[in-house]
Amino acid sequence: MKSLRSIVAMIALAVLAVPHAAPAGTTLSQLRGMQELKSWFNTFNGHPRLILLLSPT
Amino acid sequence: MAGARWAQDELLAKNPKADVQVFVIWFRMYPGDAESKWRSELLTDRRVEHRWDEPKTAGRWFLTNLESLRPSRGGDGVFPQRADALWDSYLLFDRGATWNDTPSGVLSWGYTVMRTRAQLLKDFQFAIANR
Repeated sequence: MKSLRSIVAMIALAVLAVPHAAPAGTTLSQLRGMQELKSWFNTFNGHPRLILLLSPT
Repeated sequence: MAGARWAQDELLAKNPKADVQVFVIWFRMYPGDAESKWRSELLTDRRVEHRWDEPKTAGRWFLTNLESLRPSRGGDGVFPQRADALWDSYLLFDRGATWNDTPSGVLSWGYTVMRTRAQLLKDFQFAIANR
């Protein structure tokens, strides 16, 4: 029983330690430089790709 | 902002099965612009990635490198004057585009999105149909 409690506690700690993502569409991630854009671009080779450069107002 | 709404309504919502991928980079250009002013409900399509770019890295990069892009389907070549970044703009790429030093496969680009939306719509339809 003691070891079961330990396992449960460890799982709970692990869950709490994982960063929680904000609900989709409510926050913006920061662009991590041109390398992130380039990686996204090359990941979707074979698809048409559209880049939009916009200001929020 | 009008450009984002238009892209959602006229490009993405009307072509739900198109295999296009979209990357939207938001940054400050007007006094009062701020990340907190971003309206998530404008562009909600699942094919869209959003990022905030505080130092305008991407806009500056594209403004500097516009001449090397050479769009295959034309465009009027108008870009923002007296600005430090390309903004309120689109860049559309074909399926075979790759990015080494600079991206290849530019179909067209335009400034502003709303002013050049007829070309974007025409080239978007070409891109998604051209398998």
